[in-house]
Amino acid sequence: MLNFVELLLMFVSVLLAVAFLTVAERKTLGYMQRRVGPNAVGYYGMLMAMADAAKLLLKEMVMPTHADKLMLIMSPMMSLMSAFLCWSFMPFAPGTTMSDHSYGLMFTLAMSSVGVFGTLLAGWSANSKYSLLGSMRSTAQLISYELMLTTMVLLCMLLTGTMNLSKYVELQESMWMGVPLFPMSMMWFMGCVAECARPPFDNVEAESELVSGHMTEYSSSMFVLFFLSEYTSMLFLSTLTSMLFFGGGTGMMLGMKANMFAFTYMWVRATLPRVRYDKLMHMCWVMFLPLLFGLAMFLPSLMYFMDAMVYTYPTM
Amino acid sequence: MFTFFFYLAPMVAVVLMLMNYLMSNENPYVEKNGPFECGFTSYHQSRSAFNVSFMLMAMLFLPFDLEMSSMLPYVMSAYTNGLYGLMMLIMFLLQLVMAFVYEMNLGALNLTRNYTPMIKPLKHYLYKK
Repeated sequence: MLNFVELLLMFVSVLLAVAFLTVAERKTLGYMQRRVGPNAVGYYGMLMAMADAAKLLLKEMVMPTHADKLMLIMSPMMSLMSAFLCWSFMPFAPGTTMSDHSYGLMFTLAMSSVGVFGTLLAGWSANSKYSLLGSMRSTAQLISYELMLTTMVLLCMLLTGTMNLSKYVELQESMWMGVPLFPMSMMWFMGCVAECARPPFDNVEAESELVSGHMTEYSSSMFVLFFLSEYTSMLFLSTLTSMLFFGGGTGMMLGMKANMFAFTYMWVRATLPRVRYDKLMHMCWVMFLPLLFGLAMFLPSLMYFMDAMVYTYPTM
Repeated sequence: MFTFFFYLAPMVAVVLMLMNYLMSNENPYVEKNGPFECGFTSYHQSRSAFNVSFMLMAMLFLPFDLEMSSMLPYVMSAYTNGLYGLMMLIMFLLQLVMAFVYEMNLGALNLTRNYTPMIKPLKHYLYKK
Protein backbone atom coordinates (compact mmCIF):
# COMPACT_ATOMS: atom_id res chain seq x y z
CA MET A 1 0.00 0.00 0.00
CA LEU A 2 2.80 2.37 0.94
CA ASN A 3 4.40 1.58 -2.41
CA PHE A 4 1.40 2.98 -4.23
CA VAL A 5 1.44 6.10 -2.11
CA GLU A 6 5.11 6.59 -2.93
CA LEU A 7 4.47 6.09 -6.63
CA LEU A 8 1.57 8.52 -6.61
CA LEU A 9 3.66 11.03 -4.69
CA MET A 10 6.42 10.86 -7.31
CA PHE A 11 3.96 11.05 -10.15
CA VAL A 12 2.16 14.03 -8.68
CA SER A 13 5.46 15.78 -8.07
CA VAL A 14 6.44 15.25 -11.71
CA LEU A 15 3.07 16.67 -12.79
CA LEU A 16 3.39 19.66 -10.48
CA ALA A 17 6.95 20.31 -11.62
CA VAL A 18 5.74 20.37 -15.20
CA ALA A 19 2.84 22.66 -14.32
CA PHE A 20 5.08 25.16 -12.56
CA LEU A 21 7.67 24.93 -15.33
CA THR A 22 5.14 26.51 -17.69
CA VAL A 23 4.61 29.42 -15.30
CA ALA A 24 8.36 29.71 -14.80
CA GLU A 25 8.85 29.87 -18.53
CA ARG A 26 6.27 32.61 -18.97
CA LYS A 27 7.74 34.60 -16.09
CA THR A 28 11.30 34.17 -17.35
CA LEU A 29 10.40 35.14 -20.89
CA GLY A 30 8.46 38.08 -19.52
CA TYR A 31 11.36 39.47 -17.53
CA MET A 32 13.79 38.82 -20.39
CA GLN A 33 11.57 40.91 -22.66
CA ARG A 34 11.17 43.67 -20.02
CA ARG A 35 7.58 42.96 -19.13
CA VAL A 36 6.06 41.43 -16.06
CA GLY A 37 4.49 38.21 -17.30
CA PRO A 38 1.66 36.53 -15.41
CA ASN A 39 1.26 38.25 -12.05
CA ALA A 40 -2.42 38.30 -11.19
CA VAL A 41 -3.41 34.75 -10.27
CA GLY A 42 -2.21 33.64 -6.87
CA TYR A 43 0.95 34.93 -5.26
CA TYR A 44 3.03 36.64 -8.00
CA GLY A 45 1.14 34.64 -10.61
CA MET A 46 2.25 31.32 -9.20
CA LEU A 47 -1.13 29.64 -9.66
CA MET A 48 -1.30 30.61 -13.33
CA ALA A 49 -0.77 26.96 -14.31
CA MET A 50 -3.84 25.86 -12.36
CA ALA A 51 -5.92 28.65 -13.88
CA ASP A 52 -4.74 27.73 -17.36
CA ALA A 53 -5.55 24.08 -16.81
CA ALA A 54 -9.00 24.90 -15.47
CA LYS A 55 -9.70 27.21 -18.41
CA LEU A 56 -8.55 24.69 -20.99
CA LEU A 57 -10.54 21.89 -19.41
CA LEU A 58 -13.72 23.96 -19.62
CA LYS A 59 -13.32 24.68 -23.34
CA GLU A 60 -15.12 22.92 -26.15
CA MET A 61 -13.51 19.88 -27.77
CA VAL A 62 -13.56 20.76 -31.44
CA MET A 63 -13.70 17.70 -33.68
CA PRO A 64 -12.58 18.58 -37.22
CA THR A 65 -15.07 17.32 -39.80
CA HIS A 66 -12.91 15.12 -41.99
CA ALA A 67 -10.58 14.05 -39.25
CA ASP A 68 -9.80 10.49 -38.30
CA LYS A 69 -11.48 10.62 -34.89
CA LEU A 70 -9.80 7.65 -33.23
CA MET A 71 -6.33 8.70 -34.30
CA LEU A 72 -7.08 12.27 -33.33
CA ILE A 73 -7.85 11.19 -29.78
CA MET A 74 -5.17 8.54 -29.53
CA SER A 75 -2.19 10.60 -30.65
CA PRO A 76 -2.05 13.12 -27.78
CA MET A 77 -2.53 10.24 -25.36
CA MET A 78 0.37 8.42 -26.96
CA SER A 79 2.70 11.35 -26.72
CA LEU A 80 1.73 12.04 -23.10
CA MET A 81 2.16 8.41 -22.17
CA SER A 82 5.61 8.24 -23.72
CA ALA A 83 6.66 11.43 -21.97
CA PHE A 84 5.48 10.15 -18.59
CA LEU A 85 6.90 6.66 -18.96
CA CYS A 86 10.34 8.16 -19.56
CA TRP A 87 10.33 9.11 -15.89
CA SER A 88 9.77 5.58 -14.63
CA PHE A 89 13.46 4.72 -14.22
CA MET A 90 14.75 8.11 -13.12
CA PRO A 91 16.34 7.89 -9.67
CA PHE A 92 15.51 10.98 -7.64
CA ALA A 93 17.60 9.74 -4.70
CA PRO A 94 19.26 6.41 -3.84
CA GLY A 95 16.47 3.84 -4.04
CA THR A 96 13.85 6.46 -4.80
CA THR A 97 12.75 5.44 -8.27
CA MET A 98 9.44 4.31 -9.63
CA SER A 99 11.20 1.10 -10.56
CA ASP A 100 14.83 0.13 -10.28
CA HIS A 101 15.94 -2.00 -13.20
CA SER A 102 19.28 -2.80 -14.78
CA TYR A 103 17.92 -2.05 -18.26
CA GLY A 104 16.13 1.14 -17.28
CA LEU A 105 17.92 3.45 -19.66
CA MET A 106 17.05 1.16 -22.56
CA PHE A 107 13.36 1.42 -21.74
CA THR A 108 13.71 5.18 -21.45
CA LEU A 109 15.23 5.36 -24.94
CA ALA A 110 12.46 3.20 -26.33
CA MET A 111 9.76 5.32 -24.73
CA SER A 112 11.24 8.57 -25.96
CA SER A 113 11.10 7.18 -29.51
CA VAL A 114 7.43 6.26 -29.15
CA GLY A 115 6.69 9.96 -28.70
CA VAL A 116 7.36 10.51 -32.41
CA PHE A 117 4.26 8.50 -33.28
CA GLY A 118 2.13 10.97 -31.36
CA THR A 119 3.15 13.93 -33.48
CA LEU A 120 3.13 11.94 -36.72
CA LEU A 121 -0.38 10.57 -36.23
CA ALA A 122 -1.64 13.92 -34.94
CA GLY A 123 -0.60 15.64 -38.14
CA TRP A 124 -2.00 12.92 -40.33
CA SER A 125 -5.34 12.55 -38.61
CA ALA A 126 -6.35 16.20 -38.37
CA ASN A 127 -6.87 16.69 -42.12
CA SER A 128 -5.30 20.11 -42.27
CA LYS A 129 -2.45 21.20 -44.50
CA TYR A 130 -0.63 22.93 -41.68
CA SER A 131 -0.87 19.89 -39.45
CA LEU A 132 0.42 17.59 -42.16
CA LEU A 133 3.37 19.80 -43.03
CA GLY A 134 4.15 20.36 -39.36
CA SER A 135 4.07 16.67 -38.57
CA MET A 136 6.29 15.83 -41.56
CA ARG A 137 8.82 18.36 -40.37
CA SER A 138 8.63 17.31 -36.76
CA THR A 139 8.96 13.61 -37.61
CA ALA A 140 12.06 14.19 -39.71
CA GLN A 141 13.57 16.44 -37.05
CA LEU A 142 12.72 14.20 -34.11
CA ILE A 143 14.06 10.98 -35.62
CA SER A 144 17.24 12.65 -36.81
CA TYR A 145 18.02 14.16 -33.46
CA GLU A 146 16.96 11.03 -31.65
CA LEU A 147 19.64 9.20 -33.60
CA MET A 148 22.17 11.66 -32.26
CA LEU A 149 20.96 11.51 -28.68
CA THR A 150 20.86 7.72 -28.71
CA THR A 151 24.44 7.53 -29.95
CA MET A 152 25.51 9.83 -27.15
CA VAL A 153 23.67 7.76 -24.55
CA LEU A 154 25.42 4.67 -25.97
CA LEU A 155 28.79 6.36 -25.56
CA CYS A 156 27.92 7.18 -21.95
CA MET A 157 26.99 3.52 -21.48
CA LEU A 158 30.40 2.62 -22.87
CA LEU A 159 32.13 4.66 -20.19
CA THR A 160 29.96 3.48 -17.31
CA GLY A 161 29.17 -0.03 -18.52
CA THR A 162 25.65 0.00 -17.13
CA MET A 163 22.12 0.97 -18.03
CA ASN A 164 20.98 1.59 -14.49
CA LEU A 165 20.73 5.32 -13.93
CA SER A 166 21.40 5.03 -10.18
CA LYS A 167 24.84 3.70 -10.99
CA TYR A 168 25.62 6.72 -13.12
CA VAL A 169 25.23 8.88 -10.06
CA GLU A 170 27.48 6.62 -8.00
CA LEU A 171 30.13 6.48 -10.73
CA GLN A 172 30.24 10.21 -11.13
CA GLU A 173 31.02 10.91 -7.50
CA SER A 174 34.71 11.08 -8.37
CA MET A 175 34.36 13.08 -11.57
CA TRP A 176 31.51 14.29 -13.72
CA MET A 177 31.32 12.62 -17.09
CA GLY A 178 30.87 16.06 -18.62
CA VAL A 179 34.54 16.78 -17.93
CA PRO A 180 36.15 14.27 -20.31
CA LEU A 181 33.13 14.42 -22.61
CA PHE A 182 32.68 18.18 -22.55
CA PRO A 183 32.26 18.66 -26.33
CA MET A 184 29.79 15.82 -26.38
CA SER A 185 27.77 17.30 -23.54
CA MET A 186 27.47 20.54 -25.50
CA MET A 187 26.25 18.58 -28.51
CA TRP A 188 23.89 16.70 -26.23
CA PHE A 189 22.37 19.94 -25.03
CA MET A 190 21.83 21.19 -28.58
CA GLY A 191 20.32 17.85 -29.48
CA CYS A 192 17.99 18.04 -26.48
CA VAL A 193 16.73 21.47 -27.50
CA ALA A 194 16.05 20.16 -31.01
CA GLU A 195 14.46 16.98 -29.73
CA CYS A 196 11.98 18.96 -27.65
CA ALA A 197 11.40 21.27 -30.66
CA ARG A 198 12.14 24.27 -28.48
CA PRO A 199 12.43 27.72 -30.00
CA PRO A 200 15.72 28.08 -31.78
CA PHE A 201 14.80 24.82 -33.51
CA ASP A 202 11.01 25.07 -33.44
CA ASN A 203 10.41 24.96 -37.18
CA VAL A 204 7.88 22.30 -36.33
CA GLU A 205 5.45 24.95 -35.14
CA ALA A 206 6.82 28.08 -36.73
CA GLU A 207 3.89 30.43 -36.23
CA SER A 208 4.49 32.46 -39.36
CA GLU A 209 4.61 29.44 -41.68
CA LEU A 210 2.64 26.62 -40.06
CA VAL A 211 0.09 27.97 -37.64
CA SER A 212 0.84 25.67 -34.76
CA GLY A 213 2.36 22.68 -36.50
CA HIS A 214 0.77 19.35 -35.71
CA MET A 215 -1.32 20.95 -32.94
CA THR A 216 -3.23 23.27 -35.27
CA GLU A 217 -6.54 21.41 -35.11
CA TYR A 218 -6.34 20.55 -31.44
CA SER A 219 -8.29 22.29 -28.75
CA SER A 220 -8.99 22.08 -25.02
CA SER A 221 -7.87 18.91 -23.23
CA MET A 222 -6.27 17.30 -26.29
CA PHE A 223 -4.07 20.36 -26.60
CA VAL A 224 -3.35 20.15 -22.87
CA LEU A 225 -2.03 16.63 -23.37
CA PHE A 226 0.37 17.78 -26.09
CA PHE A 227 1.43 20.74 -24.02
CA LEU A 228 2.03 18.59 -20.95
CA SER A 229 3.98 16.02 -22.94
CA GLU A 230 6.21 18.71 -24.44
CA TYR A 231 7.08 20.18 -21.07
CA THR A 232 7.42 16.77 -19.43
CA SER A 233 9.92 15.65 -22.02
CA MET A 234 11.76 18.95 -21.69
CA LEU A 235 12.06 18.55 -17.94
CA PHE A 236 12.98 14.91 -18.38
CA LEU A 237 15.74 15.67 -20.83
CA SER A 238 17.18 18.36 -18.58
CA THR A 239 17.18 15.88 -15.69
CA LEU A 240 18.83 13.30 -17.93
CA THR A 241 21.46 15.86 -18.92
CA SER A 242 22.38 16.40 -15.30
CA MET A 243 22.26 12.64 -14.74
CA LEU A 244 24.48 11.61 -17.62
CA PHE A 245 27.00 14.41 -17.82
CA PHE A 246 26.84 16.56 -14.71
CA GLY A 247 26.91 14.12 -11.85
CA GLY A 248 23.22 13.70 -11.15
CA GLY A 249 23.02 13.99 -7.42
CA THR A 250 20.32 13.17 -4.95
CA GLY A 251 17.14 14.97 -4.05
CA MET A 252 17.66 18.71 -3.80
CA MET A 253 20.92 18.71 -5.74
CA LEU A 254 19.40 16.86 -8.68
CA GLY A 255 16.44 19.21 -8.63
CA MET A 256 18.70 22.26 -8.71
CA LYS A 257 20.77 20.92 -11.59
CA ALA A 258 17.68 19.92 -13.56
CA ASN A 259 16.15 23.34 -12.94
CA MET A 260 19.31 25.01 -14.15
CA PHE A 261 19.14 23.12 -17.43
CA ALA A 262 15.43 23.73 -17.74
CA PHE A 263 16.15 27.43 -17.28
CA THR A 264 18.73 27.24 -20.07
CA TYR A 265 16.00 26.14 -22.48
CA MET A 266 14.06 29.32 -21.72
CA TRP A 267 17.16 31.44 -21.88
CA VAL A 268 17.96 30.06 -25.32
CA ARG A 269 14.37 30.69 -26.36
CA ALA A 270 14.52 34.31 -25.31
CA THR A 271 17.91 34.90 -26.90
CA LEU A 272 18.19 33.22 -30.27
CA PRO A 273 16.22 33.62 -33.51
CA ARG A 274 14.82 30.61 -35.34
CA VAL A 275 17.17 28.50 -37.47
CA ARG A 276 16.21 27.65 -41.03
CA TYR A 277 14.86 24.11 -41.34
CA ASP A 278 17.31 22.70 -43.86
CA LYS A 279 20.20 24.15 -41.87
CA LEU A 280 18.87 22.41 -38.80
CA MET A 281 18.74 19.05 -40.55
CA HIS A 282 22.12 19.76 -42.08
CA MET A 283 23.56 20.37 -38.62
CA CYS A 284 22.33 16.98 -37.46
CA TRP A 285 23.27 14.84 -40.44
CA VAL A 286 26.40 16.46 -41.78
CA MET A 287 27.98 17.95 -38.67
CA PHE A 288 26.96 16.02 -35.57
CA LEU A 289 26.47 12.53 -36.91
CA PRO A 290 29.92 12.10 -38.56
CA LEU A 291 31.46 13.57 -35.42
CA LEU A 292 29.65 11.01 -33.32
CA PHE A 293 30.77 8.20 -35.64
CA GLY A 294 34.31 9.37 -35.08
CA LEU A 295 33.76 9.43 -31.32
CA ALA A 296 32.17 5.97 -31.41
CA MET A 297 35.36 4.67 -32.97
CA PHE A 298 37.75 6.80 -30.94
CA LEU A 299 36.41 6.26 -27.44
CA PRO A 300 36.46 2.42 -27.42
CA SER A 301 39.93 2.48 -29.01
CA LEU A 302 41.17 4.91 -26.39
CA MET A 303 39.71 2.81 -23.61
CA TYR A 304 41.23 -0.37 -25.02
CA PHE A 305 44.58 1.33 -25.51
CA MET A 306 44.72 2.56 -21.93
CA ASP A 307 43.72 -0.82 -20.52
CA ALA A 308 46.17 -2.67 -22.79
CA MET A 309 48.94 -0.34 -21.79
CA VAL A 310 48.33 -1.23 -18.17
CA TYR A 311 48.66 -4.93 -18.94
CA THR A 312 51.67 -4.61 -21.24
CA TYR A 313 53.67 -2.17 -19.20
CA PRO A 314 52.70 -2.78 -15.59
CA THR A 315 55.08 -0.11 -14.38
CA MET A 316 53.35 2.65 -16.28
CA MET B 1 5.13 -1.14 -9.30
CA PHE B 2 6.17 -0.39 -12.83
CA THR B 3 3.09 -2.05 -14.27
CA PHE B 4 0.94 0.20 -12.09
CA PHE B 5 2.73 3.24 -13.43
CA PHE B 6 2.35 1.85 -16.93
CA TYR B 7 -1.41 1.93 -16.46
CA LEU B 8 -1.40 5.20 -14.56
CA ALA B 9 0.16 7.26 -17.35
CA PRO B 10 -2.56 6.70 -19.97
CA MET B 11 -5.21 6.79 -17.26
CA VAL B 12 -4.30 10.39 -16.49
CA ALA B 13 -4.75 11.27 -20.15
CA VAL B 14 -8.11 9.51 -20.33
CA VAL B 15 -9.32 11.14 -17.12
CA LEU B 16 -8.34 14.60 -18.35
CA MET B 17 -10.20 14.10 -21.61
CA LEU B 18 -13.24 12.63 -19.86
CA MET B 19 -13.37 15.58 -17.46
CA ASN B 20 -13.25 17.93 -20.40
CA TYR B 21 -15.96 15.97 -22.23
CA LEU B 22 -18.25 16.14 -19.20
CA MET B 23 -17.65 19.78 -18.29
CA SER B 24 -17.44 21.54 -21.63
CA ASN B 25 -20.29 23.04 -23.62
CA GLU B 26 -20.69 22.29 -27.30
CA ASN B 27 -21.60 24.60 -30.13
CA PRO B 28 -20.27 23.13 -33.37
CA TYR B 29 -20.81 24.75 -36.76
CA VAL B 30 -19.27 24.32 -40.20
CA GLU B 31 -16.67 27.08 -40.03
CA LYS B 32 -15.47 25.99 -36.63
CA ASN B 33 -15.18 22.33 -37.47
CA GLY B 34 -13.61 22.72 -40.90
CA PRO B 35 -9.87 22.52 -41.40
CA PHE B 36 -8.04 25.65 -40.29
CA GLU B 37 -7.58 28.13 -43.13
CA CYS B 38 -7.05 31.83 -43.44
CA GLY B 39 -10.19 33.55 -44.64
CA PHE B 40 -11.84 30.84 -46.74
CA THR B 41 -13.44 27.47 -46.24
CA SER B 42 -11.19 24.65 -47.25
CA TYR B 43 -13.20 21.96 -49.00
CA HIS B 44 -10.40 19.84 -50.40
CA GLN B 45 -9.01 16.73 -48.93
CA SER B 46 -6.01 18.28 -47.25
CA ARG B 47 -3.86 15.19 -47.16
CA SER B 48 -1.69 16.37 -49.98
CA ALA B 49 1.59 14.98 -51.24
CA PHE B 50 4.72 15.95 -49.40
CA ASN B 51 8.33 16.37 -50.37
CA VAL B 52 10.14 13.10 -51.02
CA SER B 53 13.24 14.25 -49.17
CA PHE B 54 11.41 13.79 -45.86
CA MET B 55 10.73 10.21 -46.79
CA LEU B 56 14.37 9.80 -47.76
CA MET B 57 15.40 11.18 -44.39
CA ALA B 58 13.20 8.60 -42.68
CA MET B 59 14.71 5.82 -44.78
CA LEU B 60 18.24 6.96 -44.00
CA PHE B 61 17.29 6.92 -40.36
CA LEU B 62 16.71 3.17 -40.51
CA PRO B 63 20.27 1.90 -41.17
CA PHE B 64 21.71 4.25 -38.59
CA ASP B 65 19.19 3.19 -36.01
CA LEU B 66 20.07 -0.42 -36.77
CA GLU B 67 23.71 0.51 -36.42
CA MET B 68 22.96 1.82 -32.96
CA SER B 69 21.19 -1.34 -31.92
CA SER B 70 24.08 -3.44 -33.18
CA MET B 71 26.54 -1.26 -31.27
CA LEU B 72 24.61 -1.76 -28.06
CA PRO B 73 25.91 -5.26 -27.19
CA TYR B 74 29.50 -4.15 -27.68
CA VAL B 75 28.97 -1.06 -25.60
CA MET B 76 27.57 -3.08 -22.71
CA SER B 77 30.42 -5.61 -22.74
CA ALA B 78 33.35 -3.44 -23.78
CA TYR B 79 35.48 -4.57 -20.84
CA THR B 80 35.26 -8.27 -21.71
CA ASN B 81 35.42 -8.14 -25.51
CA GLY B 82 39.05 -7.26 -25.95
CA LEU B 83 40.83 -6.51 -29.17
CA TYR B 84 38.68 -8.82 -31.32
CA GLY B 85 35.48 -7.06 -30.37
CA LEU B 86 37.05 -3.66 -30.85
CA MET B 87 38.30 -4.56 -34.33
CA MET B 88 34.85 -5.87 -35.28
CA LEU B 89 33.21 -2.67 -34.04
CA ILE B 90 35.65 -0.48 -35.92
CA MET B 91 35.33 -2.46 -39.15
CA PHE B 92 31.54 -2.29 -38.89
CA LEU B 93 31.57 1.43 -38.23
CA LEU B 94 34.06 2.07 -41.05
CA GLN B 95 31.76 0.34 -43.53
CA LEU B 96 28.92 2.54 -42.38
CA VAL B 97 31.06 5.64 -42.63
CA MET B 98 31.94 4.77 -46.22
CA ALA B 99 28.26 4.40 -47.05
CA PHE B 100 27.55 7.66 -45.28
CA VAL B 101 30.20 9.51 -47.28
CA TYR B 102 28.63 8.14 -50.46
CA GLU B 103 25.22 9.38 -49.33
CA MET B 104 26.52 12.81 -48.53
CA ASN B 105 28.13 13.03 -51.95
CA LEU B 106 24.91 11.91 -53.57
CA GLY B 107 23.21 14.87 -51.96
CA ALA B 108 20.59 12.69 -50.31
CA LEU B 109 20.80 14.74 -47.14
CA ASN B 110 19.89 18.03 -48.82
CA LEU B 111 16.35 19.18 -48.16
CA THR B 112 16.28 21.34 -51.26
CA ARG B 113 13.47 21.20 -53.77
CA ASN B 114 15.48 20.64 -56.93
CA TYR B 115 16.84 17.31 -55.89
CA THR B 116 18.87 15.72 -58.67
CA PRO B 117 20.45 12.33 -57.99
CA MET B 118 23.86 13.13 -59.38
CA ILE B 119 27.11 11.84 -57.97
CA LYS B 120 29.64 14.56 -57.43
CA PRO B 121 33.33 13.59 -57.77
CA LEU B 122 34.47 12.25 -54.44
CA LYS B 123 36.83 14.51 -52.55
CA HIS B 124 39.78 12.29 -51.77
CA TYR B 125 42.35 15.01 -51.24
CA LEU B 126 42.73 17.18 -48.18
CA TYR B 127 44.26 20.17 -50.00
CA LYS B 128 44.87 21.20 -53.58
CA LYS B 129 48.39 21.42 -54.86
